[in-house]
Amino acid sequence: MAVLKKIGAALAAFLPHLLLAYGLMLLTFFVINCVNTSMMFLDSRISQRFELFYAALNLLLAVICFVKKRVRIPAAAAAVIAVAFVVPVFSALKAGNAVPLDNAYFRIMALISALATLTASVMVIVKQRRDTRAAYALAGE
Amino acid sequence: MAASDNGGNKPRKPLPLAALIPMDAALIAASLLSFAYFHHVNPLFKDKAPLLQATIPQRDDIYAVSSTTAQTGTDKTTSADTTTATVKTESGKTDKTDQTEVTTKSGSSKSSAATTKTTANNTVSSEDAQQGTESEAQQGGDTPQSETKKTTASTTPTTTTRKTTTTTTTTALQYDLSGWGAKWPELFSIDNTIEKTDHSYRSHDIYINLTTCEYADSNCYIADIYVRKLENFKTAFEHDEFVNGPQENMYDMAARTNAILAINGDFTGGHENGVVIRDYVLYRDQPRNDVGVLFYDGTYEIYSRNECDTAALLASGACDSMTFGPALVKNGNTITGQTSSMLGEKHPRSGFGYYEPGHYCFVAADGRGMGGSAGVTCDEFAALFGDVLGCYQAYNLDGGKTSQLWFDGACFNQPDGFNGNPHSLRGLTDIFYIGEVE
Repeated sequence: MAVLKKIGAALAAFLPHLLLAYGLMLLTFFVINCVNTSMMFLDSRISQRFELFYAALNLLLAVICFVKKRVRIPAAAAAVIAVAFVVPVFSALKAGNAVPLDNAYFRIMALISALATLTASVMVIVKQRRDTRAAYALAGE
Repeated sequence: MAASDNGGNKPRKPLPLAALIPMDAALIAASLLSFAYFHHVNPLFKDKAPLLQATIPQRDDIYAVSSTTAQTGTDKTTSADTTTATVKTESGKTDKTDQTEVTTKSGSSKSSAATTKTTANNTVSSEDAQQGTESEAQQGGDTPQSETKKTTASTTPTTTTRKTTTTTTTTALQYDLSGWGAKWPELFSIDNTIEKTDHSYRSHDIYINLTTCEYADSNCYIADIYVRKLENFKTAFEHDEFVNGPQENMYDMAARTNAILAINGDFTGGHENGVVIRDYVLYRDQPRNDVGVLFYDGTYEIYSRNECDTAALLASGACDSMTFGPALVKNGNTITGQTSSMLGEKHPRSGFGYYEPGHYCFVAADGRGMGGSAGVTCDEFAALFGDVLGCYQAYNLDGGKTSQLWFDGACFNQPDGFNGNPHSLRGLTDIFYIGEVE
């Protein structure tokens, strides 16, 4: 049980950093896609897998934030936006199409989701560091 | 990372910011590198070896029907003009001479019903038309199976020498009746000259006429295609490899392959299933939808997922497959009733139409506001092929942003998101194109 707790704690500490990286990646993809659509950074198969994983991690972070009662609103908002972002991916997979319905929705949601995830993950990291610093100071006293 | 929760033990000192930022940067770099590996590097080395090489059927006989069809066109002759031409077979070993009565007409020659309906431009220059023949087989778009009409000309295999006699004052022409040229001798150039305009192309082996029409609130681009041989109908994968990797731009693909006319394929590299046969080679054998198959003799058939027996197709001489779908026209019957979100809504679309061996069409429809076009539903697209163009078979290719029709160095349609810069086009995994045999 203690091991599981340690793993959970490590995951909770690591997840916002991972989402920070993924949010920046998605922002990069969005910019590349604006410059050169041919690269298919947003809607290739591997990108779709990344996006699904990214949305799942956002959901997980939201759950952790709700359990720990920290930065709940930004985390929940980021998760909802991420899920809304990957809806076209699900539709494409369900319809057997290679790429999502390529309309403005998908591209705009990519930008919004990346920004929301970056905001939420930075807020979680800052909150974590404050809590850690406070706990360390309290233990030192 | 900041380890605030340490399992009940004394909390660890939080990492200084100077250490945290480089660690996050390293994490970002690692994530980007791993993505780049799976997006760019891994697909290039992934084993995409062909599954099976089909036995290419003996091709000596495939144009035999064509020469007969050319002869059938003489039952509507209106004046005397006799041409004796040599029919060269693929092997070049069984040359024979057909004596065929041809017609001298002052009017323009007929093309397919589709062309007649959609274009104001004629298919043949008047000078050539005056010297041309009118063949009943030109109406192949309406009657693709009508190749057994009565023959009035006699066929007398004799020598391999080409000679022409005429009873009129016009210059005698020596039509090359090889391949499917016997069906439409006046469409192709008599010598090796190439005539190009901004909407047509004519050479010894290829005749293309592009027209634009407004249909269902959308601009539709119709490329009417006649080829002398199936070798002129070609396909290409991105970077010449069947990979699920970085796609290639239409401009680059068309330039690399010397394509004259090209249309997007079925995005087969982006899918993980579907029957993929290209140039008699089977690359993937996982039926997912209707499959369109072009055979060695120029015929085109569409099979449903359950009907598709890949081994039998290869044994029958399947040359290329199209694996997007659905079927739009099957055996002359327009197929409607598509109601799913993707097919029932208006979007840009691409499709392939078949009239008869050697006569095909590529069609692209704009949408999503490009040029004021709303797009077409799948049913409307099917009606365009079946009811307007009169295709005998028609198949839906990938649409949306993928829908791209390319002609002579530029995009002929207005793909979604295209701003004139080739890089604003979506990359493609495969194209179907018309090109000269090198």
